[in-house]
Amino acid sequence: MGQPEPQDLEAALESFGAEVAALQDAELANRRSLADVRARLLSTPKPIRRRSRGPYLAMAAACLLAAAGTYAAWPATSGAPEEVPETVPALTYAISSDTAHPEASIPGSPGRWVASESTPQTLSFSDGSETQVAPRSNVRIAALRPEGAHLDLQRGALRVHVEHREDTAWEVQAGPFSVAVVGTTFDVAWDPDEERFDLHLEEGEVRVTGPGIEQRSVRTGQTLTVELPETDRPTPADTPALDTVVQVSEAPTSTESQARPRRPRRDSPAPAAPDWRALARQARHGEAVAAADWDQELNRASSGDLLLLGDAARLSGSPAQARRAYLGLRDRFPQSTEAVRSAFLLGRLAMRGGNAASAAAWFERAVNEDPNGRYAMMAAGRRIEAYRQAGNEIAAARAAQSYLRRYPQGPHAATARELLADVGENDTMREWTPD
Amino acid sequence: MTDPAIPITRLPENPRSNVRPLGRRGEGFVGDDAALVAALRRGDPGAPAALYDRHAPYLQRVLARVLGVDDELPEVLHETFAQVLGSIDGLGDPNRLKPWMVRVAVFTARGTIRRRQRRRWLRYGAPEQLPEPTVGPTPPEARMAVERLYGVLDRLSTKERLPFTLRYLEGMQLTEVADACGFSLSSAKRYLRRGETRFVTLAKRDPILRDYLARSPRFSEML
Repeated sequence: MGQPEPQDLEAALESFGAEVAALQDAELANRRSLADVRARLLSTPKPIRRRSRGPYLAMAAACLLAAAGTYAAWPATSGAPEEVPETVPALTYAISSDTAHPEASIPGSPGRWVASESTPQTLSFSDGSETQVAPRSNVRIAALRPEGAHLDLQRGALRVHVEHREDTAWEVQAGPFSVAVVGTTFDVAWDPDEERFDLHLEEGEVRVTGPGIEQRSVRTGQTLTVELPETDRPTPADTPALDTVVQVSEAPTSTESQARPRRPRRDSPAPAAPDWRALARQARHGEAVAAADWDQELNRASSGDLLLLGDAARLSGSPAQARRAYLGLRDRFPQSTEAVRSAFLLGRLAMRGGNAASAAAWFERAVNEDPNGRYAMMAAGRRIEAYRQAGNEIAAARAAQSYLRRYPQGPHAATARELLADVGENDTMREWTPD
Repeated sequence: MTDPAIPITRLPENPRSNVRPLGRRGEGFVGDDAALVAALRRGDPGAPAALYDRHAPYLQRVLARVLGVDDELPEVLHETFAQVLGSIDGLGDPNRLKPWMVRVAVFTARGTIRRRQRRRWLRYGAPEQLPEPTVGPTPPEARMAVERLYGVLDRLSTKERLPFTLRYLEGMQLTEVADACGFSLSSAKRYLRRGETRFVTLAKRDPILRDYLARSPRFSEML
């Protein structure tokens, strides 16, 4: 059995693919899924009874007089909103894109999607809680219960203030992470592309569950960051992913914490000179990048702040700026732990930019600069993929062997073994591959 | 180029495009995709239904190619449309509505694949949670082969799987594949080549899939 000619393989795969497609089309024609989804998507949400409390009546009245805002939202019932007993009123909420004119809000409904493009949206709940949806964010109000709401953040960032009551029970789902809330103010962000979760607690305490961290409490002033491994292999959720980066940090100064308002205020003017560090910790990455004096920070900032600046740029989609910060950090603090992490992140940026050879070189540096450090295993794993993408099969195989010797149970072990198995069938590779 | 040994009954690209929209909310809308986008942005009440009736069948097929036909497919289709309707203002050229929606679908499918990968351990720890096998018109032998196909696809990286399924199962051209995946054309080619190689390697190791493929004269020479 020899290697197939490319055109023969393409023809065979086209033929097989067409057969599978025909089978699937027959299966789909036998189902009612199109009609079911249509019905769910276009159904009118059930009206939610309002609480009979004075302040909420005022808000409800404002909702009834609502003018169309610039928001973009769509009712949906993915994961049907939970049924609420008739005798117990659930929360209600209103959506507004103009915090200066709260009367220009419209009533929301359970299951609704709120997508904020360029201007933030504010969700005002009938229990006094409030959520700001940052630009370029998608969130679904999955359920409204008497004791709280369930928000499902698919992408972007939220600033959440939950009024504490005895029975308060809010939940914010951010990607695979779940935040249980009983009354607090916090910022939460989820980037599905980077698979990065950020949470900063301004006040109170929340419990976070998710891959790599099991369950963890986060308290006032703490910031939790979790970066999931960029692996396509399954990671058992009951054991922490070895490749997962988990960082918990305290607020740097009490001044900075106090500088932020306890909760969003509609009539307060915007701060004159926003601190990019505070913005970055609130996951307002784009604003942080814009607010920073780059020349000054590159020359004066600490290694931790340069890393924070680079992360803000990276997560706001500014890879060139991120690279500038990371390179600046490595230039000024070459022996620091942050320099190693910068090398690792420069590798990731290079991978995302399609420069696999450069990525491999950065991952090599991250491994060599701190072979026993916290980023060594991650860099070693990604080095395999980088070499492979760069077309350097020999280096990829060597990296895979090195990885397996050092981390036989690591998250990239399966990838490494498969690569070596594939290579084993290739005569050219067999010539050099040691036993 | 197709193999005459295997009957092909691929449906037309949009079999319902000339059918009157179902339901009261989608009735009466006339216009091309650009007009539809304008109607959505204006908040015309019938526009979402018209959008769904016009594009849902194709998007469902795209999702089925990438993910397979299973009980989660309606959820993913729903999520795709929720994303589309929630971010329609972000669409640049209204005439490119369809490719933009395909990209949203592909990215939604990619997220689903990643979620499944993270949840996969449950399948081993809690067999009672396994979904019930679906019943449909597909012959058992073919159904098993398709299941094994998606088992193999689960072992490809998402960057390999997406171009592979869109190119060979959905029959997209390479430029369409690159656009749908957000890749450059050269990256799409590279991932596709890698996916082909991995697929053949893994298919050879799967006796059921190997035997099924070997019915085709083209594959029988390779396997």
